[in-house]
Amino acid sequence: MSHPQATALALFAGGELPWWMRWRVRWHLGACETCRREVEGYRRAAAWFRETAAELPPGFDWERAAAEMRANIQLGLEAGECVSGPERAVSRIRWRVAAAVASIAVVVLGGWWLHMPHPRAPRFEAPLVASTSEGIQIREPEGSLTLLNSGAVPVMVSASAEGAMTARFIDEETGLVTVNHVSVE
Amino acid sequence: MVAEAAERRSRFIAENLRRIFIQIYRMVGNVDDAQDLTQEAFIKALQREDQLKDPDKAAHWLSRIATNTAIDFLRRSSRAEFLEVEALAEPLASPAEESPEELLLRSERRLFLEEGLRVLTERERLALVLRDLEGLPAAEVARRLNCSKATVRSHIANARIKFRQLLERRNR
Repeated sequence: MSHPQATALALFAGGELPWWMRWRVRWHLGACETCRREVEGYRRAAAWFRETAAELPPGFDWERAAAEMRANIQLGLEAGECVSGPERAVSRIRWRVAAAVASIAVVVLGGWWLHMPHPRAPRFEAPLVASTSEGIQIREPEGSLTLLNSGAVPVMVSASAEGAMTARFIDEETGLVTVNHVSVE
Repeated sequence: MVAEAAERRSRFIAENLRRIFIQIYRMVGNVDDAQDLTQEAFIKALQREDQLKDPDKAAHWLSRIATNTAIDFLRRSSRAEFLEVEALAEPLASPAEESPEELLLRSERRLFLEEGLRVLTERERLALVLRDLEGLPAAEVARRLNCSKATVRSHIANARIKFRQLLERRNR
């Protein structure tokens, strides 16, 4: 017959075993006198411990120690009250008031912020190069500048992906081929 | 109102002082430390008495504060020394009705308990005191010692086995 381990018997005696192990040990104890005696031994030892451990240490003057401890506890409480008693009560109230004020402030400021008109950040507008009937024009938010084609027709205009524009035409006054090239950086 | 509160405090101290002192003493194993820690536990508890909603649970609540105070102390000092009986300055205090034989037996028994607790590890002693002396369930002991239930069961079982072996040797 295999017996339960000593730890299982010690725990069974105190009722700490999980139920399935308790059941197994109980079943074993029904048939094993040796283990029953072991469990009884643990129970007796626990009872002895409970009884003896609840007594004061040997040679200890309880009355004197108790009076000393009572006085020290009283002193400790009074000292604690002197240092932090009223302040603690006040600070608790202050803390509550501060929390309430902070909550109201958050609500008011949040509502105000949501309703106020928000100025839009200024948009950066790049200069624009365009071809008009008069010539090549550079437009900026502040104004525009046009490089005139001197009324020449036809004008061949070409534009590049870099933002440059070229107008080719024959100058009516000089009869020369004129090229206006405008490039924006 | 103030007098009533003072009276309530005094009653609370009187009703629990001995129990808490013994509990802490069995945990730390030293009379002087146990006295200091008992005072500390009561001061902590009474300073926070407004936190206690249910007065019926005051004893349990105090016991919990005492346990934590003792465990904190043991963690801080990482030691638990037992005061030698010879080192006690006071003579043995004996109730008048005890005969010299009874007194001797009682003294022997206490000494034997001290010896028994000394063979246990700190964790085993704490688990045994909280379970078998305080009567706390193993789950609560685990919570107080901040470890698993399985670990606490192992500490309790080891402590009981060691204690029982010692007791048997003594009775032989």
